[in-house]
Amino acid sequence: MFKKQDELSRRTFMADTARKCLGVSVLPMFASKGIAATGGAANFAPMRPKAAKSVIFLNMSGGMSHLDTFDPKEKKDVMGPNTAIATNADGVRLSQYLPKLAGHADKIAVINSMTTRQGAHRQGQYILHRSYAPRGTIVHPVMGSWVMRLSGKRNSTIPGFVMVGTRDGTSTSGYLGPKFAAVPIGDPHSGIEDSHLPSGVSEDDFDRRLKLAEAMNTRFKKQFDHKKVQGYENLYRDAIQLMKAEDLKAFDINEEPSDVAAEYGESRFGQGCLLARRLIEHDVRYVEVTYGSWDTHYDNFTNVEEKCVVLDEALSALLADLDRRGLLESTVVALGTEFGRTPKIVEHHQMGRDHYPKAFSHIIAGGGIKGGQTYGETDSKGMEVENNPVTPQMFNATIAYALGLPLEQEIYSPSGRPFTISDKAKPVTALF
Amino acid sequence: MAAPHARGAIDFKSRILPVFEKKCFDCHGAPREEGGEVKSPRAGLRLDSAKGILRGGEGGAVISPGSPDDSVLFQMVSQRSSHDDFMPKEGDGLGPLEKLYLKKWIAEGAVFDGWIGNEEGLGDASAAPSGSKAKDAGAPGEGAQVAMVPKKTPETTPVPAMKDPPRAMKGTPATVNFQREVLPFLKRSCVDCHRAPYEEGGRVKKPKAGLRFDAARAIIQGSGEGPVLVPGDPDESEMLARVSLPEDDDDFMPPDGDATPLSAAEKEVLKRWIAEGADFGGWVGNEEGLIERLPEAPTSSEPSAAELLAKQVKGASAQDLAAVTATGASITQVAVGNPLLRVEYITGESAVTDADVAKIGAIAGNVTELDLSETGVSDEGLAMLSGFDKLTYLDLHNTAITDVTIDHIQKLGYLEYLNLYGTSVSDASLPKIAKLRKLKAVYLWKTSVTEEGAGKLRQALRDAKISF
Repeated sequence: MFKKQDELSRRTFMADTARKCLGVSVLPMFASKGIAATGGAANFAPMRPKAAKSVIFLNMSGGMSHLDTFDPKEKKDVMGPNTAIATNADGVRLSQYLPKLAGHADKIAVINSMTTRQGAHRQGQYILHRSYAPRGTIVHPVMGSWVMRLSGKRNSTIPGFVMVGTRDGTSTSGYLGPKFAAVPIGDPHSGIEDSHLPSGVSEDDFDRRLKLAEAMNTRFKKQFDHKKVQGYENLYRDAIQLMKAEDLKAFDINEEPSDVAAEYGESRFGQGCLLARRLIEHDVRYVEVTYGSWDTHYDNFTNVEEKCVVLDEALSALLADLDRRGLLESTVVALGTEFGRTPKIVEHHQMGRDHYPKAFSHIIAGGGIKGGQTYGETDSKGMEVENNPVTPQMFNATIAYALGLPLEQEIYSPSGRPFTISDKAKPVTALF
Repeated sequence: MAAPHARGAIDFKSRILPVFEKKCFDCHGAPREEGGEVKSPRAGLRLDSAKGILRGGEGGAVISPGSPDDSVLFQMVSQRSSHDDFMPKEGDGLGPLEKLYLKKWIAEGAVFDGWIGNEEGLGDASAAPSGSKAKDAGAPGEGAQVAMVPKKTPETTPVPAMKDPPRAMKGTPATVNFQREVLPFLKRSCVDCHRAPYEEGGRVKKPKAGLRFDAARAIIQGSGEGPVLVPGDPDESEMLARVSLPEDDDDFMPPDGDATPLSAAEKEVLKRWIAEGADFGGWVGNEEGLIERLPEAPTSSEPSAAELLAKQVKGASAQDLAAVTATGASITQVAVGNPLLRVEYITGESAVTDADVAKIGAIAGNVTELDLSETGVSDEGLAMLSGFDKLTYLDLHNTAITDVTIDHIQKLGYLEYLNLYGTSVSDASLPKIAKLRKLKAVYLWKTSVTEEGAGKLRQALRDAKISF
């Protein structure tokens, strides 16, 4: 197996890169461990002041039609029964399926020039989340894991990276290891599973049991010192701390006053967005909420319209709710999908649209991004990107830039290959 | 513009010494008296004798005979003049020809041809002057901020033994010409598999490993897994490493039978080309299929408030900081390299009292962002806020404060963000808030402020967002 020529020089290279990218970072007063220990994990200093602190990523999986949401056109032959509407921002037009969002267009930046080479769901979702194309030999970490790796948790007592709407977080962190994996929450209403003390066990009892388990584990670890063992222990410890923390309430959307909860709509996605807001309030670093089934090969317009009812309500409520709490400035709200859908309508599939990676749309808001703008354009049919193309990597770089993360910091996989958070793509700083 | 080729070995006395005399001796000569003071050679480095040059200074050796790239002296004079490390510090830097001669002189073994120079005051020439500056070291922790990491300087490198034997430079050009010397073997040995996608036999053939050698930008971009070329650093350049492996190695490039491997001379040329900075000499290649470049990110022209205010800050004492974190607060720098601080309570807020928060008063002059939301603070406890003259961000949402606290903050003229949602602040405070002209965002949801009051505030602070 090929190895880089000098292990030692590679490590100094890493340290050197850190120095070059992070600059003179910590004042001598912070060098003492005492401060770092008592101050909790929130010691990350961003590359520039006023960087955002958290991310809510809304994953529209299935390939969301761009013409029917954020890039509506005039030409009837590509729009079918759909039309565009004006919004409260001069620079933004939306599809008629998103009327509530039209009242919040001043908060968002619409990117209509997304473009990718991945035309299949697995690869498209993969590169959207991980910035690298899938390769058989390695699993690249998702954005949430990268963010955790580069900036740590803000709230030390609860997980820093949560995925709502999925059951399985195991493949999220790839070569970074289980410590940076997402904590999955399938149903927003049930909160975190297994996070309540079994009845009949007091906290003291539980502590004692835990210490015993740790003692036994130490021997096991000595024999099988593998990163994964350490990683699962950390996850377990995360969960334990969760049980004792008053922050546990962050995961319980039943604590929310009913009028606020109602603003998000009753859908799982809506309640998932509500949960995301609560988690952000409790300083969770990265929350992803998935809303799937956008793969409208058949009956595109009926299906998209139905889904937009849910999306419209949830996204509008989320933006408004974050904004009035003063959280929008420090939270990046990003909405993405793996590709768009064909402007040409497939009539014999009940007016369907097929996959279309060449041009599609994302949204990004908060975190210092200027609202009420459209970045990048497609032609009059939504077929080609005319200016300012943005790849999924650039989109991720933009999120990382908003967070003040070091974009060039290289992390090495166990096999010795260097990676960066967005595969060295440049952020779209014009959005800020 | 190519430098003229030097014929024959470099003569120290005629080519190098005059430059040193003119541009280096002033600061790096023997100690002398000037204006009643003794001027010592900077960094303990004497360049006015052969012994001194070879011995080096406080940081160790500055010449690595045979290897200009490893020679600190050559590195320092080759920096950009705006760089901190650029030498000489005063007067004109070395011209391009002077640098070239210096480089060749070192490469040829740094031979002095019998020149001795001024050995007065050198003392025991075998011992380099002591005094390495200790820098705080820290390893990049997972998720944690990186502490100052030691610079990769010669301070920790001992005088190296002569590495490669000096090459005869008679008549050899100083730089590799990419198009004439490198491109031909790239085309022959690499491009067949590593080029733009093309159609063959009804299928689209993609570049192996997503790596293309048929365009300069593509070579720089590298493969799907990262860069294969690090300009200036042959050791870190995978494209060189792969062709330099033993031919029977699994990862050897080009794979057996696919193309002719590079000859020893070609590998040497490739290495030199990379070491000299991987200059493509204007060659672009086939850009078809490459993603369009975005223009460089514009940097903001105005420094932020945090950058301006940082200039007036003195460090806070470790004790004061520890006292604050002992109450459960989290302290961070607002940005890398900026001494201003953000203080907040991320967890356990409900238990935080006025007494806890009082400790922050001791570092008031350093705090630009303060988040006391959801804590148990009261108006009395926040009387100290009037001393937080650098505050740009204040978050007091969901606390028991009243209009009284707004009195405390009415002189904080740098405030940009003020979050009061969920408090009992009323219209009475709004005229005071209106006087804070730098405000960009004020949050008043669920307060006792009325629609009318909010409207008036919007009128007064036209550039601010008033969320009500």
